[in-house]
Amino acid sequence: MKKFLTVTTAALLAVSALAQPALRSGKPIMSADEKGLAPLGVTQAIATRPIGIAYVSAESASPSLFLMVRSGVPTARGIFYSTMEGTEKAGGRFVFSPPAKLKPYWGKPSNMPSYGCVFQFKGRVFSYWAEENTSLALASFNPETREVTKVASVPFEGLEGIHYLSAIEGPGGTLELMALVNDGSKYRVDRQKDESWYDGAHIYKGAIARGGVRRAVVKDLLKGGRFEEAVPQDFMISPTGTVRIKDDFLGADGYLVVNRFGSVLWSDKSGKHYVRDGAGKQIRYHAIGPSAVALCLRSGETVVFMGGEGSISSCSFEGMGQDGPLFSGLRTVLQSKGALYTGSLGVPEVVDWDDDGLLDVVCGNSEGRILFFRNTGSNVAPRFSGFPEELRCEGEPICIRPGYIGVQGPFEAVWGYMCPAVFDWNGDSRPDIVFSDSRGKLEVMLRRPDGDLARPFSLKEDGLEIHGLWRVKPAVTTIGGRICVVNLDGDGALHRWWKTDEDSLEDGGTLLHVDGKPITTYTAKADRDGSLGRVKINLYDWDGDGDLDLILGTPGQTCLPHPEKGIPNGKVLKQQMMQVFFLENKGSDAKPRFADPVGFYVNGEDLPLGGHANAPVPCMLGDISLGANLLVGCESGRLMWISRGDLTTFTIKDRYDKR
Amino acid sequence: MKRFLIILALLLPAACRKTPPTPTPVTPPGPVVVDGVAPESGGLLKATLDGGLAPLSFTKTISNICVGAVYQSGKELPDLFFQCPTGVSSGNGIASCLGLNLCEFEGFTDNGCPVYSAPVPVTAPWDQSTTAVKIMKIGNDVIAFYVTASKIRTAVYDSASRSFGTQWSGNTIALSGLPRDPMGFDIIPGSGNSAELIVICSDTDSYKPSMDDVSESYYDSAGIFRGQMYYSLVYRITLNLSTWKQVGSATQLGGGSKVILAPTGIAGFKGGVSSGYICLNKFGVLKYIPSGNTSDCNYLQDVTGTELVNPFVSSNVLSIRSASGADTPSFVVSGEGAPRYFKATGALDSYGSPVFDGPMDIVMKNGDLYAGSLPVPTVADWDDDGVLDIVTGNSEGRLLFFKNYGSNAAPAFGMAEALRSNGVEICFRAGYYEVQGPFEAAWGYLCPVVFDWDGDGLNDIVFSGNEGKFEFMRNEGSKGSPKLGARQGIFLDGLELYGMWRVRPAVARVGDRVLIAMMDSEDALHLYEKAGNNSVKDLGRLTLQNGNPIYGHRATASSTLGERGREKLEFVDWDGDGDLDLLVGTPLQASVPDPAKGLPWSRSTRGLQTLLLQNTGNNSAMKFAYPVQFLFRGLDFHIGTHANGPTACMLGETSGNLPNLLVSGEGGKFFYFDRADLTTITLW
Repeated sequence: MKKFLTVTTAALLAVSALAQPALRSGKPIMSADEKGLAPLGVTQAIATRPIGIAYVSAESASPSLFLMVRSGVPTARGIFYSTMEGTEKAGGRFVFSPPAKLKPYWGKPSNMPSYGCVFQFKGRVFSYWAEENTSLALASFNPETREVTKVASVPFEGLEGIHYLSAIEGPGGTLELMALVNDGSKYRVDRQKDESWYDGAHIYKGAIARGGVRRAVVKDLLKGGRFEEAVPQDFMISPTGTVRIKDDFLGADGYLVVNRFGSVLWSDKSGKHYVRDGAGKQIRYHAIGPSAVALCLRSGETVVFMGGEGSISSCSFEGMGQDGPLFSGLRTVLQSKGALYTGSLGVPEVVDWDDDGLLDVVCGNSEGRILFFRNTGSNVAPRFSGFPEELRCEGEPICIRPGYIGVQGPFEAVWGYMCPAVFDWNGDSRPDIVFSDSRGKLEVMLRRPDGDLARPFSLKEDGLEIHGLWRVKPAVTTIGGRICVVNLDGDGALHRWWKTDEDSLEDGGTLLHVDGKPITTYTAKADRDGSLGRVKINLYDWDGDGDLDLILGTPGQTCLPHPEKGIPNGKVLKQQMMQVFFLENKGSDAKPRFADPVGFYVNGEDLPLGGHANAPVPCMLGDISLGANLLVGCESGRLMWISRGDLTTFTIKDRYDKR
Repeated sequence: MKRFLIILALLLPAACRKTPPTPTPVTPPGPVVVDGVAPESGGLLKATLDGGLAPLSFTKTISNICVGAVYQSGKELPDLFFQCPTGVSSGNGIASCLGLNLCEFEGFTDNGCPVYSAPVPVTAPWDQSTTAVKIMKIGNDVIAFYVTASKIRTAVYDSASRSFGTQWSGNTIALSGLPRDPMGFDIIPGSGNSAELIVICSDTDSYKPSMDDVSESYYDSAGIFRGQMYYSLVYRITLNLSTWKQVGSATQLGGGSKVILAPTGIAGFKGGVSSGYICLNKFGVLKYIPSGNTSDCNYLQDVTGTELVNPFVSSNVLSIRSASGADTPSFVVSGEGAPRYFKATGALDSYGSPVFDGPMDIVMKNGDLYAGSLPVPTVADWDDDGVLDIVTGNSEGRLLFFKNYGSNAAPAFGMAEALRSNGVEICFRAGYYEVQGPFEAAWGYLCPVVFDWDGDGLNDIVFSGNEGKFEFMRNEGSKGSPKLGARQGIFLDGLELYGMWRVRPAVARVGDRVLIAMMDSEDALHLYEKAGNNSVKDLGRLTLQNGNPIYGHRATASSTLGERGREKLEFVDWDGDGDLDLLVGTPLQASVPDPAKGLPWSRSTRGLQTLLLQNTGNNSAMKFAYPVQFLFRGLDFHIGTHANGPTACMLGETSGNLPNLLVSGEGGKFFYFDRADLTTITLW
């Protein structure tokens, strides 16, 4: 049965155009929608996970979501909360305030507990945090000061192996705690660093660990309790979040469990069920590793919020079906005054995708999707909606993922790491997509007349798929009338191929440094494993001298141009920087020779955007009187725009001198 | 740089342009209008339409390599010699084509496909596994050149005895100046006593990575192949046919060491608009080196400017010179599939390479049904016309439909139709990342089962292949007009359902439940229940009566883990007791149910690698008896070491309302067995 949220009129959002400037040098591009609506998230966080939802005081008209950020640049890590402002007028999605950082008792982010949950109990907000195998830390919350203060260490039995906690206020003045526990099998196995995670039959060497739910009922928060099995330990592969849902009116009494692949299952007395929407379609979170929290709103509606390495989504419980519970489909949770969000590890291209004369942003992400941010402003003052379109392939949204066979194992099955380059591959004047991703293939999707993309096909050399290192954005351009593609080859070197047919390339050799050696991306300390690759490549005449230079985005552990000495070389230099580099072409396009890389400062300082690869692209957005500016996709899913006038450079020597 | 054809494609007749290659299946109007033939027990299913038109095929062999072309007076195309190096010997009343065969040119089909006679055996002095053979006419003699122990030898053909016997020259010739033994060669007779010898050699000594442990992957932890992918080196050597000696040193062609990746064959090309050499690789790619120019090497193109690719794993390319020798030669590519003909158009592209039309099927009359190597059939009424058809996967990764124009008792099949997914011809292959290394990229090993997966009353395709994952294609058509949509994953808790490679899943509907069984990550039979179109629930391993798991592999495997998997499973109530039994087709090295003792490996004799596991429980709680192996009329019936593809079928005599058995062999053909002729043998 569908329930409808009855929110007071006062809580509904007023429509007022909030003129957020889209471009601010060194900052994320902001949403140009009314009130700056965009997906809820913490800027510069890779994953924003809900850990609780509560009315922070008896007077609160709206609940607040509590969010945990464990990864990303250090300043982004911490605990946040965000208060519901109402619902979006057009789509009815929940809108929250911009997340505000809390002041937890543990101080530095590096001391953050590995898990915790925030909950409402007898009208106040408390939290439990991982502490030891025999206790949880109980903390109170002061909404005025935003302080999370430890009250006591509370003894609990059955905490061994727990890695996730959620809580919901139960009947009779009790609190129900739900914890996830694994089945004890070992996902990772010992191996040589360069040895595949898969055996000779392409079977993963470790165990596909499963997990279940333990539950504890607490009457006195200070006295603790005992966790006991509520859902068997082999219930589901790699669960990452669970909530208890008990609704006597609608006949629900069970546990909703989500896992790292976004699957949503239900466990109750009748067994295991997939959670479905009213049309019978299984509900699936769209990204990796969601947590889940639930709240019965004052309207009586039970809402589940899920969030992992992707935007936060919500769905409402609608009743029990023949085969498990029914929920409304997942909908994105929004915030006001938000920045554009591409999903984590965005890899942007700036191109007029819709042929309206304005430069748009087409962006791949770690989910394996490609998003289209339409520019409704101008190139100088662009306006992008916080709600991009998903590009489609033969009618279906693009979502290319490795599945079971992934460089770093099957638990990365839903990380696609789409790295698209937009280029008119077949010369029909429509932009196509040439891409690589977490599978290391090099593929093309041609644009159809109806605007959709056709199914991908692999580029081959002598009939064999060209296969390089993973998560690399290829550069595609035309040189002397021939189309060339630059990608990272299996040796981690920049390698050029020439197009000979629609699906066929011929070898053009490695790109060379001015010293005559191939330009490689790995460090002398690197293992041949998943840390390789990940480089985003652009060929662009950055210095305006008439030939194509290289603009590269790299992860922190890359070492350009040679393994022995280079930048950013994080394993050796241990310096944080914006991992975007310019390699000047000292030769010609036909016979290029590239100088040592120089890195970019912004206003004379480093702008660290995270250890994962940055994805730069030169762009003609904003004031271009000095030439192309820079747009950088980063691990947090934000698009950083940097005015060329604010860019200066450093050399390899500068960095080694700084050690 | 875009290439432009010198001769416009429009000048060519429409029938010669791309894709008329396969003779169109005859489509008689109405439901059952063709008199079929009752299948012969222990025999091969025959093509019966249009005079039994079928791809030129070879019985009980896998790879069929065209090694020679010799004109008979007045014929438009030459007779062809085929060397078939691998497969099964003659037996059980069916002759094998192992060794050398001759197929005589008989004419053309209406749409221009060459028709050849059924192969007849030819005696030859070389070992049947030798593939480095070239046969040609020099003067009045038909000469075979063959390489053994790095030396070229010769033999002369005696048409009366259909044998190659005496040496054409008294000597063998040892080649010098080559870095390694030739992988392929051709000889191009010149003027006088001179001839060109063209050879290809690998540029490396070993392809496979070093393996301290046979359980290791061929790939490193960055997903990159650990071995060395080799390219071809091409050399030209002048021979004096009179003295039968090499003249001068070898000249390297093609501009260096990377002429073509994974080379398999080379053909001299002389006459007409261009002279040069065609290089072929495993993936069917064709490149051309013009003679007189030692540095160029370009992809061959068709009349549309598209690069030519042979559609299956390719072993050899043979020039088909015109009878007069004056016209531009055509060529034949052969390997693990029916040979294909690429017809010269007489045009050149902008690089001076000849342009070809094709590939076209080479066909025969009164042929057997042929589906390409390692077919995996299901017998089902695919087009809802009331009679049972055959839908089969094959090693190329394609899905073929043999429509039955006859009846179930006396079927009438013709040429196969290649099925499509979302409008594109199905060809599912793993690509670079393949269990046995990237050079197996042109094998797909599609293992489909026809089943109404989504319960909408239409047959869908549930399948696996060499990627080891289990997927389906939904039939988005209508009754009588099937149309497959895009492939879709099947997931367990959001993770792809994944197991051993090259396994056909068994799928069945039990009440309102749909069950699917496959070989799991430890090569054990595992059962799942469909929970949605794209998801399953884990029901655990299938077991024997004693509760033990049912494994597929032997303990003494000496090679890599790629030996595992490969089983073709099917649920069927074989014994008519009301519950589902399991048919299991296996490779020779399988050991079901126990690695230490199982079928077929633990038996000392080679037989039909088709096992039956009777369900001694029920469909809700399956338990299986020890497997039994089928015998035909009390005897073993060996049809190949690669996995058999069995399927129970209601073709032929089914008065007892119990199924007969159809089993595909590695050679691409379908053996039919009346159940009355089947007995079983076991080890327990």
